[in-house]
Amino acid sequence: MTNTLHRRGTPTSLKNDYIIFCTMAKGINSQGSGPKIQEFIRICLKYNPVNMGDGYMGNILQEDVGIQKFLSGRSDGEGAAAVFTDLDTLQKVIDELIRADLGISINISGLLEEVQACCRKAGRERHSVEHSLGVWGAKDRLPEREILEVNTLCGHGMVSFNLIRKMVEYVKLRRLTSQKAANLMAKCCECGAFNPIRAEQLLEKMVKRE
Amino acid sequence: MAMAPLEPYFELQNPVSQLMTDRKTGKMKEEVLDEKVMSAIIEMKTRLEKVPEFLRVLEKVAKEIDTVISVGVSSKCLPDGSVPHEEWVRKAGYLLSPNGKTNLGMGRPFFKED
Repeated sequence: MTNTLHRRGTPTSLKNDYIIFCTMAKGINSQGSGPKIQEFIRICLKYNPVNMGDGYMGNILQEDVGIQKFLSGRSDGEGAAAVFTDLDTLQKVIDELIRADLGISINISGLLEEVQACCRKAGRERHSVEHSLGVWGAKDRLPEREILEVNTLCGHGMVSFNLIRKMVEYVKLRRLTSQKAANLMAKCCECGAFNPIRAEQLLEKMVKRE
Repeated sequence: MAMAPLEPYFELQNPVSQLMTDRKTGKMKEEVLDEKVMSAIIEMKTRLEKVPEFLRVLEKVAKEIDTVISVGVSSKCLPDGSVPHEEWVRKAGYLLSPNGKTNLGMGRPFFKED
């Protein structure tokens, strides 16, 4: 999975952005995994994630999904993602998931050294790591850095460059608060990896700069 | 197909691999060549020592196409948690992101190498 690999920003900006996933392997441990996925979600919910979701159903910030529907609608082979904004909470989630030992693959997207420290505190060494080497090719076709920082919060590119620009304008004109604008953008992200808190901070930064 | 001389192993379960007529060369089916997609993920497996060469070829290809490529590298950690590909990528002159994905290794059954 690469949908959260290419999130952009300075290490300081990335410090409040951690996504934890559970994933099944089709034909290996997918059958009968529904209750395990639901337990993963229950554990994450105890620690108040700022977003949750998966590509099958959407995310909990969408009106037609919500937390209960997302939880009860999980079935075999459907993954789940939860977004957290601080390391202390992430540590607690990891600790509890290790204790639960669900037998499903758990991945975390975020600053690698900090995630490794969390794993070690929980008494576990990381199994494998994926790095981004950035974006190559016709980069002149991409928008400015600040827009990309928001856009890459949804690695499937579901939050369009123009919607982000429009939200910046709306916040500037006080037609929307940065919080409402961030939540509106979050609804476009089907997999639930969009971090509305970080988006809000990025919007505020853009509005102040302009 | 520019990668073909490096003998990549295209991941079988990947949807793009399914659209190839020849997974040794990476040749795509004729009927999909004029299609446009939002994103397509190509997954290739190789040996660590070949990583620099793969990246050099990819960099050359990236200059010839009219779109962008997001590049990622992953590998299984050593028992001390160090990442084998880091050294190879850095030596080749490429920058690694401070963020990325970490697998905790909690899925079962465990993968067994042949």
